[in-house]
Amino acid sequence: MKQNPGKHPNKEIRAAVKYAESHGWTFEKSGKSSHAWAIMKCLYNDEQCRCGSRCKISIYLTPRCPQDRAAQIYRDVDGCINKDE
Amino acid sequence: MNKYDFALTFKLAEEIDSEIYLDALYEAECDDASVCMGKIGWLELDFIRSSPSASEAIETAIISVNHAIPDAVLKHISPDIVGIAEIATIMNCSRQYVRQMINSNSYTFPNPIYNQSKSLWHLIEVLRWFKDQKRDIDNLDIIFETTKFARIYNNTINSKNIDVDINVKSVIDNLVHT
Repeated sequence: MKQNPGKHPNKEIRAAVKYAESHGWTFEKSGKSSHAWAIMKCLYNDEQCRCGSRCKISIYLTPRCPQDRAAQIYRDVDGCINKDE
Repeated sequence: MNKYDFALTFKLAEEIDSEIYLDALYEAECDDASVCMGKIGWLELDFIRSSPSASEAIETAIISVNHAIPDAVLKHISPDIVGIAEIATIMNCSRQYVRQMINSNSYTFPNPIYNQSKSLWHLIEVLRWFKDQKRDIDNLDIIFETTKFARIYNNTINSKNIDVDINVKSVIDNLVHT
């Protein structure tokens, strides 16, 4: 059952999430972790792209440095081989 | 304190979804990592870790992961092998610019380690070239330190995985020394 994670408490991460969503990524609650705010999933789930490892990525509710974590989200989205330019 | 940007790739003991380890990783101080779980039985962590040195940043990260998942085996450290796209990211420029830079410096630019459908380089050699050329690259020394650690680790692991034939080794040793 997919559950909406709601809003991330950090503003930079919220902006990065919005960017990811605009490129087709979805965010859902993890059923297996209480520290994770959400799991971000790529629409394409393409195993040719970065060995498929980055098709499913965690975002913690309280990452050590939210600014760095936000920067990584942009990088993961931009690094997708199926990203629409 | 500098910020070191690197990734660790681990193989799990079983072909399972690594999502079950998220809380253990968080509690083992991997809260500065992005945990990539798309490949079943594998786990990739992208760290941006503040530390006095690259080796301390990477070593503490590995210890943290192994604390959370004792039987996970570290298979690779990045950045090490890169293509045009990764070089463009480091230089903060377009891929087109990187291609032009390589073409117009074809004699001095490092030889790719793979040169078929696409080209790949050892990043450490590309960074050394940037240094020789006195190119103005953000955080070049920090990236260099991180990449050097990754290259030495990966090289050590790869050599261990090759069953060395004594005769072949002596032939190669002679070739390398001449």
